[in-house]
Amino acid sequence: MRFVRPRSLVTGAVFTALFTLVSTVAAAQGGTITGTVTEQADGSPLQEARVIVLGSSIFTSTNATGKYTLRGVPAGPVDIRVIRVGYTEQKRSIRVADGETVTLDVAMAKSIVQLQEVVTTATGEQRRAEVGNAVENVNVSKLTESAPIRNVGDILTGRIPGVVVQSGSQTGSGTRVRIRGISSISLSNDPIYVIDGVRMSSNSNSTSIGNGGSNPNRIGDISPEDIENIEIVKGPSAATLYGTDAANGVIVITTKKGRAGQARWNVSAEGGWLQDLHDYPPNYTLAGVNPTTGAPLVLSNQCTLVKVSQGTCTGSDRKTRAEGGLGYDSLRTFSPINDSELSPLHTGNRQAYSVNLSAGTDAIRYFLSATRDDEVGVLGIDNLERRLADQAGRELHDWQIHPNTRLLNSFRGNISAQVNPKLDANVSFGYSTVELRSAFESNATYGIGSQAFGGPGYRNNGLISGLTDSLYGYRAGTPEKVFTEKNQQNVNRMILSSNLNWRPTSWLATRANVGTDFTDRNEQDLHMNGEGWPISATYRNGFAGNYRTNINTLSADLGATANYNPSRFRWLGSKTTVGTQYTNYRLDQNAAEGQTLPPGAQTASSGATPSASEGTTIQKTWGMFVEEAVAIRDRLFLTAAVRTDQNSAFGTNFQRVYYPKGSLSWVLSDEDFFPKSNVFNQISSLRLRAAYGASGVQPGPNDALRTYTASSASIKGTDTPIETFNALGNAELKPERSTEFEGGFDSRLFGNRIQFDVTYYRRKTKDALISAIIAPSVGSGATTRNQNLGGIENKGWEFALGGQLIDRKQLGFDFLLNSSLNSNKVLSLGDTPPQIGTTYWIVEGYPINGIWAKPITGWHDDNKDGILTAGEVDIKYDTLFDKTGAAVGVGTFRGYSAPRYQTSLTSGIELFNHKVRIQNLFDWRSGNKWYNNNERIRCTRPNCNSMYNPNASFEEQAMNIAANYDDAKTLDGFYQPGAFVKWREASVTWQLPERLVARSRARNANLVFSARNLKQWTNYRGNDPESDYAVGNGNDTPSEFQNFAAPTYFIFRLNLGF
Amino acid sequence: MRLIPYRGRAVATLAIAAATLLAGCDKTKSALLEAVDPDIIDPSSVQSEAGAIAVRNGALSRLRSATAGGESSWLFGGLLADEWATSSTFVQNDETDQRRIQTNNSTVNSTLRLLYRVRTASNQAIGLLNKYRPTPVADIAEMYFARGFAELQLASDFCNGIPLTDGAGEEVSFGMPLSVKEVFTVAAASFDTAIAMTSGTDAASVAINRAARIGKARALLGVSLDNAAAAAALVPTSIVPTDYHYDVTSSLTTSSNILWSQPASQMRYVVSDSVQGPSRNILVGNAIPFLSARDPRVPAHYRIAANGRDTVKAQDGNTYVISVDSLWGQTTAVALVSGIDARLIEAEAALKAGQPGTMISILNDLRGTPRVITASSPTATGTHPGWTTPVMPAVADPGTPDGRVNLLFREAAFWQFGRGVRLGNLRRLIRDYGRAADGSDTFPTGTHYKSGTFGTDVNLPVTTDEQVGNPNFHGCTDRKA
Repeated sequence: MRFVRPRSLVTGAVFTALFTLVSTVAAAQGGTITGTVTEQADGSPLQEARVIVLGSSIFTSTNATGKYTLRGVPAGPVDIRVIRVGYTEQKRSIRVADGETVTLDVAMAKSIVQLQEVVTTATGEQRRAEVGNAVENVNVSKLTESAPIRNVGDILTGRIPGVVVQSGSQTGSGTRVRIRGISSISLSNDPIYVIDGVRMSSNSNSTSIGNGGSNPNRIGDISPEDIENIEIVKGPSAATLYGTDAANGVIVITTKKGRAGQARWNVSAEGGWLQDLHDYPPNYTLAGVNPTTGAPLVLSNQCTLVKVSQGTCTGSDRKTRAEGGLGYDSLRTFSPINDSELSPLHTGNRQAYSVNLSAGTDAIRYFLSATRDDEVGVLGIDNLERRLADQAGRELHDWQIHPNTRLLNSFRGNISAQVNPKLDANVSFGYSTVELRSAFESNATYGIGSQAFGGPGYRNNGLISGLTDSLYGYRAGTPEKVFTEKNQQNVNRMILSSNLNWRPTSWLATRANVGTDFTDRNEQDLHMNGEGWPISATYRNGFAGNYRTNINTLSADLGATANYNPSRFRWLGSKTTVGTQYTNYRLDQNAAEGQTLPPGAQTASSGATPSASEGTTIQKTWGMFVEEAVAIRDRLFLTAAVRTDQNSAFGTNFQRVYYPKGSLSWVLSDEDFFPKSNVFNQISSLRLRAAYGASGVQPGPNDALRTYTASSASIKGTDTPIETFNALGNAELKPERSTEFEGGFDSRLFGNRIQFDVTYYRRKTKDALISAIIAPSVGSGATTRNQNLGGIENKGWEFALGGQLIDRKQLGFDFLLNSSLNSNKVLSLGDTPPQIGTTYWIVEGYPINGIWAKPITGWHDDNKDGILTAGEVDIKYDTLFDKTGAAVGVGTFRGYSAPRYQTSLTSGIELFNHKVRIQNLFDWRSGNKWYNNNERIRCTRPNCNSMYNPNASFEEQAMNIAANYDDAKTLDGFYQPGAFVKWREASVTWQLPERLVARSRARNANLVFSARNLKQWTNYRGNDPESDYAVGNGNDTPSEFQNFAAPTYFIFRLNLGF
Repeated sequence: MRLIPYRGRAVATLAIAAATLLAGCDKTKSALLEAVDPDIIDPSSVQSEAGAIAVRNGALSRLRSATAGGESSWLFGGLLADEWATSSTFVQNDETDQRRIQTNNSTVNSTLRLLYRVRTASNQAIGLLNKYRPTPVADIAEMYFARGFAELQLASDFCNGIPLTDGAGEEVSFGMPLSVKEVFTVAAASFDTAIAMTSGTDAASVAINRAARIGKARALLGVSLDNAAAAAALVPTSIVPTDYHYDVTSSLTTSSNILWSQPASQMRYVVSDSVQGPSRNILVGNAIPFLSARDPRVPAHYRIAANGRDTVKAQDGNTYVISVDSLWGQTTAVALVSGIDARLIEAEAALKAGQPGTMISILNDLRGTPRVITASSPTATGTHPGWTTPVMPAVADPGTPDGRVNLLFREAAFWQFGRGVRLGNLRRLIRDYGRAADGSDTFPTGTHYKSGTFGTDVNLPVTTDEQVGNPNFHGCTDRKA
């Protein structure tokens, strides 16, 4: 094996250059500026205010007493800027001489609209006003204290315009985050994640055990309690310098840091419960009823509405009711889900505890934290089977009782050291362990969803096939049997980042971020001998699978920024940044499996038929960039940059990609000509911004290669090693390239009371990678080949309107309304034809993964019996032709598969001198259709309403007839309006009385009661219009399929500060 | 502010940039970006004798997957015909059983790919073996047999308009759509090459020669019934004894026999019958009621639960399992071609030649001796005993031409159950014997027990993927038999 030491190579190159450079530049002695930053209203000191010498690399932060000291300030007149979250920024001019110490005290006024004024960019931290892009920020540390936040997905849900988040329903399942729509047909549309300056693995579908859909991703390993804030870099125009990976946006996570001053402890404890409050549909059967006794007859579910209409519904006497027989046309309904004795849904619970310590001196600050987050999901064995097992003395496994649990332990230590005025260093260390148990649920034949949604309309449906146990109305297996299979994932994760900032001169700042994100994932799929039900001939023989996966992302980010402020032209500031970034991602996994276990055995090696496998994924990117930023009169900011990347996945005929960017930010309201009267008087500030940039998404690691694969097979009775042709490869392969323009304005109105921001964006992706279908006749193992053929367009608007409408002692009211709309279109598929799927098609001129079908246009109950049959449903046939004129499919575009429009409203009411805060978050999404795949399969099983219920509407009957009886076999009726409004969050926060707080020796204390997913309003006919069985799998073809929807959480939380 | 010397700053910036760019030299670049993935094999690795052997074995593995080792057209063809009925929750299976197959049916697409992969893998192996391991020649001949068998199965099961693409090399040469008769002709040519290469008397040559002869005989019959005599002449008892068989095998550690795995283990297919549905109250126009017939060659039975009373339900939770688990176990070897096939070809040739007595004699000779259909094989928990037919009573001459055809194809259906022959035979009944495509003497008709009625499909479609990926292909030229 060859060992590569990229860090040493790049680090050495750059730092050698820097040392050489610095030795040639005489260090100036400079002067010193010191002072205190205070709150204007009451004169109290302000900690963590950032004090910056404009046009230089010199800055510092105030300590616990509000004091600061800037050393080595170049002699002469300098401009000082002071920034702090929640306060209006201040700018002062002062003159300093060599060796002189001058004092500059600054008082800051509170800003009613509280925004993070400093944002993190690829070239380092920057004032928001200087950035030509919309950069969104969530103050997580504040949020976690008062809202029902379980994970990063909850943090982002409904808080950022243009960011659509969908969460899974099982405890610990993954989250889908899409920023400004989807831009890639064949590659991942996931954003990338950066934590404390280093790349973080997010890994959708991060499991070796398919549980049917609710799979985790690695974002869930991060405790929200450790996060200070999250910034969303939305698209290529902002993400250019993040390079070949960042076209889908960047989520920048900054963890909490220590603060100078005496030790501050923050302790929180929360506890609550979770319940699935959805109203699930019953199962239906047309059965017989004894006309005399009313008792059920021998049951059959073969009679349908159609047969009733046809008069062919015969009873056991082979006669219909019309013939004087028994018939089988009495409707019976039942659902084990809604039966308190049989339901697999229970009340789950949740406890979370966190403690953190922040302390330090001006020289060294540290933050230490520990979090424990323990949740038991709602799925579990039904009460009846549990009781019967107890009565029979049959011991149940813990994982049968609680098949879906998650325990997160998270530890973090962040240390910041100011070595000297020119050098500071930060080391962040995060370690977490996750124990996740997932239930087999949705797209699994033996999953609980298949059993619960698939049973007949009665309870006494016989025995489990092959066993003597009753089915109790479940389809083929009961919860006790389903949950005998254990699916457990144990994760140890360490994220280490080190950050070095060295400012050798007043004009030069260098930085080095080096870190690693290492995940050790150990999974167990266990099904013990003799347990479960015989879903296959070998299932009850037992199975043990052990899967070990290492995921390692190593990243290095080195850069230097030179400032230039010519004294002759003080209106001009210039900043040049060069840098290089390297990312090395590697995933190694081994699997050991054993089939046919002896009784009691739990290891793969004890299986009579053992097997082993392994897999590796490697992806490396190396990029360099240069950026020039110019500030004119500190109100017009122009930036130009270019980045170039090389990547291990590029084809041999493609070596390097270049991504340019440019942006403009103009604080118009600072201009002298900006009117200050009439209506303009109400405009506190107005900034225009525009940006253009390009970024990419890398191909899969082996997409460029023509390959064979090796395995073994039984050849003439002997297991023999074999090699088979697999991938065609593509030597011309290059990354997808997205270019984006965005423009808009940020405004503060009515004395900074209202914030109103508008952004328009238009992103075009060219060289989009298309998984071009390889004709079967080619005979390759791979069925597709990635080719740079496509073009995609995403455009839309984003709005943010918020502010403090009422700010009185006894009553406050604030709100934030986020809204976005997105339009997505495939511009080109190159020379490939449309991709025709069963539900989702990719067609030029239409959105990616649009939903297509032969539309149901009407129905006519010709015989007026209230039942639709084949021939009584009108269906439209539209033929889709490819460029050659060949017919490639029959169907009509029916709608987007993801919401186009999103609006969320966060409102807060504060009462009793701000002691009580009531906050709500409403989330409205629309503009799409949602695939009710659950009802689709229920109609083929069949046990659905529209197949059996005489009271089913014609619309419902039509969707069944069209899918199962008409030659069209169209699923159109199951593509249903996906619009909804959800009462996503509600919370009441009570600042405990000071007397009580003082008695406990606490600095502050509050008590929070919050709830998540309280209520939904929708016309969708399924269970939940954002319920997607495969949300954690990383794809963009959502559907509700044999899965339960997200539960409702009710949580109490106590926050204490010491 | 004191002016920082612009020159110094510029020099510094340039120095950093230069240092960074310097690091971009090729050596550094390769060190940083080299990504050697152990999962994949470069084509150069197979350019050797050992590589040629591995690719040859790969081709045989592909052949296995396309027949008794993967969810292949053997199962799906049997689903479309009257051998199997669906008991799964998959719409792909349901619509195939219902004879209403959509051209984007993903499982049909997979079965098509499985067959094409055999062709490509065989062609690659032929090239490598000729270059690096020209002897034993029987190994190369076996590749021609494998290729021919894939072509034979394509023509037997799929619609008219089957493209045969050359995808073995770096440049792909897309094929034009061919009729099934043309593909049968191509298959015959592949078998011919195998026959020609195996004139030796060593065991391997003899075995491949026999297999290729049976294959060619079937292909000739596929082209036209007029070739029956020529077909029979290829497989006389003196060359292909009745107990001969060319098998594909399975093992516990690699992959199970699919004829056991899907129907018997996963319970996604049940043996088809003329009475279907959980209440057995739906009459299906089925040529052969494989359950009700109680023929010892297809020992179908309802699977009874552990309590000894209840009937086990299949994967769909609704259909009762009708299994032939006596026939195939987890690793039972399955004959691709056999001496029994050879005798049936001779019988058909006799009938075509106007010698019904000879046909009856051949059929009764098969029935009059116990035949090993499957040998014993290991399972996860013991040994599957295999299946040997008992001596069966002789059949009588029905006395009419139609009756004799019915008898011949009925006998073939039982002898060859599940081995990918039935669909092709039903199509030949339509093509060569004038049977109706929608008559109950060929494909199932009437009400389907899941929903709706049986449609009119008589073959599997070449799927949308071929249309999308092959510029020469624009859909089946016709869906006739």
